[in-house]
Amino acid sequence: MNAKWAGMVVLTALGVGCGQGRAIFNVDVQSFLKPSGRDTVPYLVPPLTSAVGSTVQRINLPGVGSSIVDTVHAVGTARFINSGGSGTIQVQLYVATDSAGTYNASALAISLPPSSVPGPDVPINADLSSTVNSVFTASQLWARVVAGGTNPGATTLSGKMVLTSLNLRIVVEDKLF
Amino acid sequence: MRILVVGFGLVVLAGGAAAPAAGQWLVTDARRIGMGGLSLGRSGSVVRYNPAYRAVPAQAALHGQPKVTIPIPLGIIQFLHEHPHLSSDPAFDPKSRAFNPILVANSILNLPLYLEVKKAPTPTNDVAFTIGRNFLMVNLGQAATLVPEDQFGISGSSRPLDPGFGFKGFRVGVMGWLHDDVEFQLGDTLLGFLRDSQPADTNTRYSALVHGMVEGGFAPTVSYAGRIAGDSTHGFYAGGAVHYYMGVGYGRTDGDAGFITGTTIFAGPTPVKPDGRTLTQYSKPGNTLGHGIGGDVGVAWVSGPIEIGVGVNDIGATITWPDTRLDSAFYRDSSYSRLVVNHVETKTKLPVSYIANVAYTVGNTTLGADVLNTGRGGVVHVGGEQRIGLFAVRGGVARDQRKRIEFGWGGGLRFGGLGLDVGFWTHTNSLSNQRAITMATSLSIY
Repeated sequence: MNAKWAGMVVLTALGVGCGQGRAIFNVDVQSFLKPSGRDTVPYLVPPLTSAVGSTVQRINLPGVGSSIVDTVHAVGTARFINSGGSGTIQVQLYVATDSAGTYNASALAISLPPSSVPGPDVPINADLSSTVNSVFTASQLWARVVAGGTNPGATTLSGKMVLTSLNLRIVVEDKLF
Repeated sequence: MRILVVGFGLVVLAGGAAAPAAGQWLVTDARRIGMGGLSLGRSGSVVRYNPAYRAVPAQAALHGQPKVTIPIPLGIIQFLHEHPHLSSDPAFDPKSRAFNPILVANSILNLPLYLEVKKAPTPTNDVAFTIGRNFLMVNLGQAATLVPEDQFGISGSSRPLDPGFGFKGFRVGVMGWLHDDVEFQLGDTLLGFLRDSQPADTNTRYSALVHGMVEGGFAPTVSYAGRIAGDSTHGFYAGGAVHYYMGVGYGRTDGDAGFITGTTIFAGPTPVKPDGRTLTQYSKPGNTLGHGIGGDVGVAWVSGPIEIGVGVNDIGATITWPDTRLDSAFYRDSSYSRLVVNHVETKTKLPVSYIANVAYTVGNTTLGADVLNTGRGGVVHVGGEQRIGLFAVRGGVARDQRKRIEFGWGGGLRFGGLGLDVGFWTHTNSLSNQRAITMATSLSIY
């Protein structure tokens, strides 16, 4: 019930601004991740292997009912704080309506090319896969941030990936009325 | 739930649109619409609000007025063409996901009697929401200007029936009466959030004041209207009526409804809590009738081509309801309604309405103006008609209850005792700052 009421503010605003225009939600995902420390994904990859580290976080949204999500675009930055070894880290984002769902392959929303570590910050600037658009109509979603490491060297690759910023721009076709 | 939530926004949308409908444009005479809503002679609001006009001789020829006007509701044809299967139209079905409460409200508040020749565009700007764990800001863009800063609402005071009989200026009858009033006013925090794009704050209440009332009944009435001085071409007329109002039923609610944000905006178990409280008073039909006394007065002066009138209605009309029940309702985590007191006396007051009008007719030209206030701001009409042989050309300007200027124009064609009139007028609703144009048509019998 409360989740539905959380949408009252937004629906009220949409009511006032209804018409053929779009509703655009700029969601600061990092603000949801940081208080719980889930903006940081540790990685530990033994030599000549691959390994995946991830964190899962619930994100509350107003919920837009039966509206149709047109596009979702992500902009942000990932920083690698490497403490040992070298290799590549691939940043991925999965979203689903529940935490278990974020482990499904179909929940993959963004998959950046592998980045060399140690290395500079990696910008995130990509459209999310349209297959996950419907997730953003709900009043809450779960996001799993993945740091997938590959270590071709002889030294263990270790460190942590920090999302220093991650914003989603969700464009919704206004079908509230 | 969805309808409830959407309804809150709908109220904001519909409030402004309703005012002109209630106070100005519920007119079916294309001739009058062509003159910007102007009431002339025995037409429109003049007789309704000025009891003296019952004695003023009809100067039909002088004003080019028809005896009977029959509206041709082309708008209904247009409406049915756009919604051919009304009973199964999802836009009108509350159970449908395509239910469109705005369309429904607009169809009720602006009855589709007239042909929309130019529709007012609804705002098409994007609405942006900025959301963080503890942050919410809304930017409505241009639509923010539509959020009402002041109190807004709908009200009406009507007399649907008035049967009676008269003799030598006196008249005895029984008048039906109905008064409704709905008002809203956004609180400062909600107004700032919606209109000024102020970020939502934690532990803050966002609310609106709500008032609604409807009451109705009948009123045995004794009235008099007669010429006090002069003759039929130069005369001073006065009229008055005393009503003994008998209230059949009324209901009234006053409240404050909204929501309270939590310690964080988008986190925690209860990010937003609904919060409302109302006091409801009602006297149901079947209870002891309400009662009260009030009156109407009016004067009119006719001097050749000039006609001036002033009328005031429902003076002192306070209704005492001897058997009223009061309930309070409070909602935060769960709702309850509690009886406050029953079988008590309460009072309501009908709004005082007034009209002032002037008309000037010379040759085939008639000019006029009127001011009508039904308790929610004045409506001003200024217009005129020029008759040229079989044709008539009309124009007018009106200022509605929201102080917006609207324009009317039109024409007519008369063949002996039959005439066809066409009137256009602009109107503005709260959905758009641009004017729409509608066309009314009517047949006149002279």
